[in-house]
Amino acid sequence: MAIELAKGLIAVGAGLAVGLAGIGAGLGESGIGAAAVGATAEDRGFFGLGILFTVIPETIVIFGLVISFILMFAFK
Amino acid sequence: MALYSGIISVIFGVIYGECFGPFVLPGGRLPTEVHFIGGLLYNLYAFHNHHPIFDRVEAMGVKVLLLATIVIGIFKIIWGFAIGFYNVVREHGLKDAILEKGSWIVGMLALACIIFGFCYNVGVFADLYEFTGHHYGISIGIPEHPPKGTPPLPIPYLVKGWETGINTFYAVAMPLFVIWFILFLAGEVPKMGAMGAILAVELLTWFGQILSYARILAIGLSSVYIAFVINFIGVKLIGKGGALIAVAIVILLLGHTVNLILGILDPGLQSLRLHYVEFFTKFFEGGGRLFKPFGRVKRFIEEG
Repeated sequence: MAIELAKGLIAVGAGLAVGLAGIGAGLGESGIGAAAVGATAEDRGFFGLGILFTVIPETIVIFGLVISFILMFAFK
Repeated sequence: MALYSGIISVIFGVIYGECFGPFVLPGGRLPTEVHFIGGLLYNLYAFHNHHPIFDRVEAMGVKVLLLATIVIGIFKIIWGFAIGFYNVVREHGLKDAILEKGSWIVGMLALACIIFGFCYNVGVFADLYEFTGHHYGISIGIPEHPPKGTPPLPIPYLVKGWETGINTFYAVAMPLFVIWFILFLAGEVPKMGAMGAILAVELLTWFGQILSYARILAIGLSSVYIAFVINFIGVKLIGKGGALIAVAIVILLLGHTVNLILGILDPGLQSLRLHYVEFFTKFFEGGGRLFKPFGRVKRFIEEG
């Protein structure tokens, strides 16, 4: 019973790690995306660089994912 | 460019055993239940319920791939520092290069040892051994399987049972850290004063950048799971029969199209980002001015 509960809580923690990190990265990307669209409207050549800048905060989601993997594998 | 990407995709599709989603699923479910091409391709390719060459959907494959992507990251970042080392040697000489870039190479090796030690204590190498049946690389005096009850990160006097958790990798990492710190201080303190020591925190940034290479695994897996979910919905609807079959076909076509477009856009961007942010910052210095070709500017004639 206690082990089942612990497994469930680990799964909830892993989900929270990815989900909350995703919210954070989304908040970061919203500002960058808006600025990138504005810059692209001024100068079409900025499009590729703007897309590149937009994905930069996505590292945070990857951290959340790694944390969730560690939770699932290391503490099972 | 897209052609080369397509060739690579086909090769890795054969390796992973995937075509619009995985063929063989964990839990003993048959592909006919969840795959919309069903048993046809399965019988052609998947060798009758044998796993493909490498199965990344199940937990063990994820572990091994996580290690593989992180090894790619360590290799790539050390490569970047090596190019930076060469640049500094050309500009300022060998001593500056060792103090500026060589210290970071030593620090990266120490970080790599910490990561491998963690992976060993978690049991990734044991999985690798079970997966291939071969003894891999750890012929430096430690067995494949860590002892029972090993803590993943043995911090002395803080974690219970930390004595069992210290392995060869951690033991190698400590002197490397000392060498890195001495080299780093010798490089930064004359330039920045005593406050330069704070810059040592930057080693944690490189740790984050190594972990950042795990996105190669994450993006691949996410598109596999999207395909899996679309197939699952489609097959369930077809099982209901009647007019729902038409809905299922629309869902399958639309979903796989969206997944394909995402699969072109996102991995391309992310790998581009890995080059720009993680790799180029180690050696690339911008500046200069745009090249203007020598010659007359043609204003009134058009070239044919």
